[in-house]
Order: sequence, then C-alpha cells, then structure tokens
Amino acid sequence: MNKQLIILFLTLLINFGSAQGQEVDTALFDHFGIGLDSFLNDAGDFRFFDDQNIQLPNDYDPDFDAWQGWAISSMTDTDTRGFSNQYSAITGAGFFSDNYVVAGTFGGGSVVKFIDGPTASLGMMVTNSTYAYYSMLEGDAFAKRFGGESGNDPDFFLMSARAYYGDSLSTDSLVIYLADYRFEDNSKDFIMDQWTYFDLAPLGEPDSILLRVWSSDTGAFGINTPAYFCMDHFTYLRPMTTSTYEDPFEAKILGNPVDERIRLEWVGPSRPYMLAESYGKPLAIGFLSQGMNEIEVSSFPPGIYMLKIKNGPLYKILKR
Amino acid sequence: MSRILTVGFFLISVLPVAGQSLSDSILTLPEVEVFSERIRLNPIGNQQHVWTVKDLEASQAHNLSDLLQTTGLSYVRSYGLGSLATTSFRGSSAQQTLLLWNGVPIQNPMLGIDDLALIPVSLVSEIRLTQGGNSAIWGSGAIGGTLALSNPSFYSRNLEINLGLEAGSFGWKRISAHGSLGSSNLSSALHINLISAENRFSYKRDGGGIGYQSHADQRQESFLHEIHFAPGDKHRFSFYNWWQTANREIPPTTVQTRSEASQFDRSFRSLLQWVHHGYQSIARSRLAYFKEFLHFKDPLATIDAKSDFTTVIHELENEWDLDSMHRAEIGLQQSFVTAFTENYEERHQQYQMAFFTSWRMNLKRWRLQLSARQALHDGDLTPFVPALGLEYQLNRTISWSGQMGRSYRAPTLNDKYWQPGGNEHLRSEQGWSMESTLLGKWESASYTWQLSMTGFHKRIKDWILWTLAPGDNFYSPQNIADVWSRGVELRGSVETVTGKYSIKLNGNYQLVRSTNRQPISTPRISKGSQLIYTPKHQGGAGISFITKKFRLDYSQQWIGSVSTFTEPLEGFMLGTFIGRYNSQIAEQPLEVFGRIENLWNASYRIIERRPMPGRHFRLGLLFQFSKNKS
Repeated sequence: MNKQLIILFLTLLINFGSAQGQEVDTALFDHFGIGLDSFLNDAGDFRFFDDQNIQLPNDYDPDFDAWQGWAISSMTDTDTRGFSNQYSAITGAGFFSDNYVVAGTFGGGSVVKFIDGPTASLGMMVTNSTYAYYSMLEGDAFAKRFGGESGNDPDFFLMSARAYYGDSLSTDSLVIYLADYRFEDNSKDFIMDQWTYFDLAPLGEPDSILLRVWSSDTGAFGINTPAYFCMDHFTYLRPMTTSTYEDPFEAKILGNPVDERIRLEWVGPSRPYMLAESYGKPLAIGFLSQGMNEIEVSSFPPGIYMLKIKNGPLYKILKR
Repeated sequence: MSRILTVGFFLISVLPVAGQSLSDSILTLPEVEVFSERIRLNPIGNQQHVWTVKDLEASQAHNLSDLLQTTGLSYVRSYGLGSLATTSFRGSSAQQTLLLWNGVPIQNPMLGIDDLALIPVSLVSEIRLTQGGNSAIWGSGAIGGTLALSNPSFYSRNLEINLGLEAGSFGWKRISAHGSLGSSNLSSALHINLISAENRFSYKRDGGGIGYQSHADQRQESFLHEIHFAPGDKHRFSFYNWWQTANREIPPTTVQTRSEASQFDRSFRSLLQWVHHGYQSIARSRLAYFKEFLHFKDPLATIDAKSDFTTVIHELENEWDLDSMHRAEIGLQQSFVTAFTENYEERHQQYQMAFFTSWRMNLKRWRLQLSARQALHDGDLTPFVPALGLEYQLNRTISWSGQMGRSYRAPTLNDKYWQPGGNEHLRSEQGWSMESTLLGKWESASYTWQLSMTGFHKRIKDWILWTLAPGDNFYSPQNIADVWSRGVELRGSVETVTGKYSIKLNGNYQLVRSTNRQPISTPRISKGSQLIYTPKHQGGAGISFITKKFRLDYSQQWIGSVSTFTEPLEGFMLGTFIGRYNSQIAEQPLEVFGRIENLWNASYRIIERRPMPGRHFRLGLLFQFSKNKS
C-alpha cells in the first residue's frame, strides 16, 4: 500500500469518525433567483447573503454602486477583460449549477460565517474570476502579466484560509494557488481556470473562516492583481437532527457496497447529483433521470463515498 | 479635409493683414511698454530660467517634456515616446506645477495637470520657468514651479515664413511652419505643428531578452494663430486661438501582452487681451475661453470614457509706477468651469474669484517685493497666500536673493466629484516655502562665469492622496499627507567668445529630499520615506560649440534612482547630441540639423513597466524666408 493510499485511508477514518451524528451539507448559492448572466452585489439591509448554515457578508454602497465582501453571480462572460467584468468566473458557470459567489476582498479578506456556530468545514470549490485570470495571463494597465517581462518571474496568486475560533484567529493557514509561476520549468506554470477543490477540513470546527488573496505583484496600494476569486459548493458537516429535505423523492440504491458502478432507481424528475469523497471533495457530477441510473465508480479506490442529490437526500456508498 | 479647412481659415485671417501692411505708407512705431519687467512674470526672489525663441530653436525640442528633460531643471515623468509626461519641481507633485499661456492658467481642472507631451514648444516664442512657490502671484497650483508660455506681441513690417521638415527613428515625422506678417499697428502669425510617429522600438527586458514596443502610434496636429492690433498709442489688442488634436495609442506595459487602448485629445483655447498704456501705468484685461475633450477607449476592458470641460477666465490687472522706487499692482481674476464625465453624477460647475496685489520697492542695493492673494472657490475661502521676495546686490559680482511665501492647490474636480470616491469636503493643499540663492557673475575680456547655489525648504500640509480608508470598498481622496521638501541646487556656466567661435559649458546638480512626515497605510508610505518618483540626486552637464556655420551641443543628464509603486527604478544617464549647420539658398537661410537621443544607448525606465527607447535619431531641414516690407 503506497503512501497516498495510507493517507487516504487515515483521512477516511478520521472523517468517518467525525461524521458520526452529522451529515455533509453543501451551500450551492442557487436560491437567489437572479436568472442567468446576472449578479447580485447588494444584500440590502441584512448586509449578508445566507445559504443554509453559511453566511456571506456583503458591504454595498448605494451611492457609488460599490461593494466588497461577497456577491452572488451567474455571469457567463469568460472573454471580457477588465473591471467591468468583475462578477464573472473564468469557468463561465458555477460548479454544479449556474450560480456561484464572487469575493472582492480589497486587501482585507472575505469571511464565511457559520450561522449555527462552530462547524466542521470540509471544503469548497474555487476558481479565478475572469477579471483576475486575464490580468494575470496578459497583464493590464495596473497589474503585471505573470512571469514578468522574461516569463521567468516566480509569480503567484494564492488564497489563504484562516479560522476564527471565537475571537481568536488561527495562526496557521491553509493555502491554495490560484496561479503559480514559481516552477523552474515554465511549462508547469498555471493559472487556475477550472473549479478546484480546496480542502478546509484541517481547520476543524471554526465559527468563521477568513479567506484572503495574496499576490507576488504587490505595490504601495496593496496587491496589483485584481483581488477577486470565485467560490461554489461550500461543503460542511451539520448535525443530522437539523436535516430536512426539501425533496420528497428518494433514490433506491441497488446493491451497496458496490464494485464497478452504483445502480440506483430514481422516481423523481431529472435532478443533478454529485459524488464526493467522504470528506466532501467532489469527484463526479451528473444528472439523474427518472428510472434506472448507473454511476461509474470503477476508477475510484475502495472506500466510503457520498452521493448527494440536489435538494435531496445524501447517501453513503461503500466501494469494495 | 478638416485640416485643410483649418489651414484655410487661418490663412484667410492672415491675408487682410497682408493687405493692410502693403497699403501702409507711413511707419508709426508703437509706444513700447514703460516697464522694463513685469512684476508677475519676474518675481523677486525666485529662480527663473527663460528660453527665448532662439533657445527653443537651438534645443530642437518638440514639446515641453523634451525641453525640460534635456535641461535638467526638473524631473520629467515620461511614460514613453509620445505618451503622457508630467513634471516635478523640487519634490512636488505633477499637480503642483502651474502651466500658463499668455498669463492665463491652462491646467486641466479635472485632473489638475497638463500633459507636457502635448505642448509643442514651436507654437510659442518664449517659455519662462519660475521655480518655487508662486501662489501669491499666480494662484492655485503654483507650489513647485510655474511654466509660462508666451506669444509676445510684435509689430514688425517683415514677412517671415519658416518651414521645418523632420524625419527620424520609429516613424517620426514632423512638419512645423510659422508665418508672420505685420505692419506698424497690425500683425498676425500662424504656427503649425504636425507630428506623426509609430514609436515602435525594441528595448531590453528585465531578466533578459528583447521586448518590442507596439500599439504606440501617435498623431498630433496643432495650430496657433495670433493677431495683434494697436489702434493708437495707448491701446493694444491681441487675439489668440490655439486648436489642437492628438490621437495616441496607449502601448502595453512591459508586463502586458497587448493593448488596444487609445486616447483622443481635442482642445481649443482662445484668448483676447487688451492692454492700455496710461500715465505711468499699464492695465491689462484678458478674456479666455478653453474647451477640451478627452476620449479614452480600451475595447479589451470595455472602457469607453469621455470627458470634457469648458473654462472661461477673465482677468483684470493694473500696474503702476508710483515713483522711481515703488511699483504696485492689483488684479482680479474670475474663472468659471463646467465639466462632465460619466463618472460624475451630473455636469459640475466651479466658480473661482481671486484678488491679488503686489508691491515692489527698488533701493540702491536692495529690491523687495510683497505679494498677496485671496481666492474664493465656490464661495469657500482658500488659504490667504502672502509672499515676500528680497534681492541684495553685495558687489558687482555677487548677489543674494530669497523668497518666502505660502502656496496652495485647490482640489481638482475629479477629487471632488468622481464616482465613486469623490470628496467634496477636501481642503486645499497648502504650506510655506522659502528659498535662498547666492549668485556670482564674473566677466573678463574672454570669459563669462556664472555660479549659483540655491537652498530651498517647503512644507505642504493637507496633501491630497487617493486612499482606501478602513472599511471602505473604493478609493477616495483625503487630505492625509504632510510633505517636507528641502534641497540644494547648484548651477554653473562659463562661456568664452572669440572672433571665430564661442564655447559654453554648463552644469547643474540638485539634491532633493522630499519626505512624508507621517505614515500612511494606503498607499503604503512610511514616515520619512522619499516620495515615489522623486530622485534624491539629479544633475547634468552640457557643452556648446558655436561658429558662424555650425552649432554643436552635447548634454549629459543623470537621474538618480527612484522608488515607485512596486520595485525601485535604477538611476540612468542620458546623452543628447544636437548638430546644426547653417547655409543659404537664394540668400535665404537654410538650416540642416540632427539630433541623437540616448547617444550611449542606455537601457532605462522613467516609469515602472514603461519602456524607453535606446539610441535614436532625428534629422531635419529648416527653411527660412523673410522679406522686409519697409
């Protein structure tokens, strides 16, 4: 058994243990009713956007139509450069649906709060905004093209996550690179352009999480790279007792544990699903149609997986 | 087509003058001004540098930025060939330099600056640089220095036509023309300056390799027409019209893959001046109308920003010789500005009125000048700005001069009304400055020496910076900085003239410490740190060799390192060589000239991420035709 499998096994054990009496839930940010190719940058008097146990602060100035914190978006523009396209993700859509959220941190960071108090966060999907992506890829009037003039500058654009436990902020932080040009081999340099899983489980059970971007292109006015990122599918654990499904339909799993594929019978209307590792990292997405469905799992290693149906129940799947 | 029409219009306006000149049969020389020097243009105590029309021709500079860069009298912040250029005197900001045209400020009221790359020096006959604070005389913005462009009136019976043709590296082409015609009481002149350039050059990249400047085409068309009329001994009228357009592509930075941005500037400046010569007095009245339009486009970033402003200025001043020792001046200036950009909620207006006065006393060895100005901006009193200038002649060779005064700069319209962030409650930047100069002049039969040393001190409070206040999600201007500038300027020159040639050597050095006295978080400025883009050290030297046929000029400028918004920029040295050969065709002067910029092919940057060209050339011809009608 190689090292990766050992780590995976231990992780599964730990997460399976911590999940006793809890279930995985995911904030999808789909209920804001903004329609396709639109955005919502004003949370009104509440000054935050809610999605189940997640609360995203929003600070909007109606005098100037300026905002910071979080905005809800379904923008699909993956081509327009510059500030005017600040609400678009480079993927052109959310991870699992049209909607996602955009963080404009302005150097101070954006906070994810848990309404129900300390919550074990599992992870989230992140990607670059179109604005930041092209600024790093091509440069603009204010920010540099990553790699610099020679292409060899060891530039980076990263997001850090630190946890608030009560009033105290953790000293350690988790990091994910939204762009990384530090490789000796320039062909390995990348700017993130897909939804990518950011594992937050090591933060434990914080009250809130501070997300902040950092760039190697920094000047007197702070970072020159547009301080934006996009987030979707924030996954966390919540007590089973708070579980209420909006959907009356249930899937019938035919055979669990499974070997090559999951076979399930679905009686409801067509519905998206996500197959994830036990600690929340998504592995596959798709749509269930009415009747018999099969989900290929032959390439996955043995272990416990979560099958989440949108607005529906969560199933634990054991692969042999 | 529009260019042809414009030329036609100006030619039509010149022709009646030609007709009148030919019909004159009696020459009446107009009365010359009774004052040898005007109080406002020659303030006592400030250091001045004057370029006459001959100096401007010799410099081969095509715009104000060029001119200042090669003389080393200020630090020019140029974004590259044909791109935006501003200047800084004695550690001041670009907005703290006042630009005047025939006595009227032509500062862009929305930005508070003027792009020196868009001011062709061939349109004017004199440029006067006054260093140091001068708000008591000229008002808002005259904190670091004042650049006064002039088209003095002339009443000569000569017909003069100059035509200059230039070509150079990077697709540079320039046509300049000047025609003037006059009689004893009516004269007219037309100045034309047409420039086009591609500005595509290679440069050394940081970290190795060669980069190529692209998307940097520029085209500029300038026309200035002046007409002067002296209906009698006492009255003179001058009417100036300056029309200009500039189309410039904005090149990408060195760390930007491409740029599609461009900027179009269009300006029309009109000025009517009346001068009345009374008994030991001169009254002047000026009425100016400026209309400017700027269109910035960046299709990649979907930016399409238009802005425009209109300024009307009226100024009335009277200058008296009270007796042989005393002279006084009072004046009133009013201006009205209306401006609009999509980033304003509505078209904004600004009304300003200022009263100014000066009193000058000439004693045997002493000269003294007291000046004061009080302005109202939109009904709010700006700081009262007094100034005292002194001059003392120690002996035949050594003199001392000094000046102390208060200066201010009112917030720009963008500072007040830009959305988001505009702050209508901003105060004017204001502070006190002083300078002291020791000047020595020695003349012998074959040499003329001149040495000067100036020390200056200036402290400006309520300095306006755009900052991100805690909790704010947009930048907003605030009166947060307190800047102390001090330094030393050394200048020297020696000239020898023989029967066959003359040689002139000159040198200068400036030490400028311009530091913020309190820490600021955004932009990050630590207490006591030198302001960005402000070199501590700057100097230069030049030599001119002049014969009847030739003139050769070489200048070497040295700019010390500067801090920027990101990484510091290294200092650099630039050499400029100018050669001129004078000949004649059909008894009319013909000049062939060449200019080599960056002679030693230095790799340098003035603004971070903005490349500058290596060695490049310009060659040209200047035809002159003159005919005396008398």
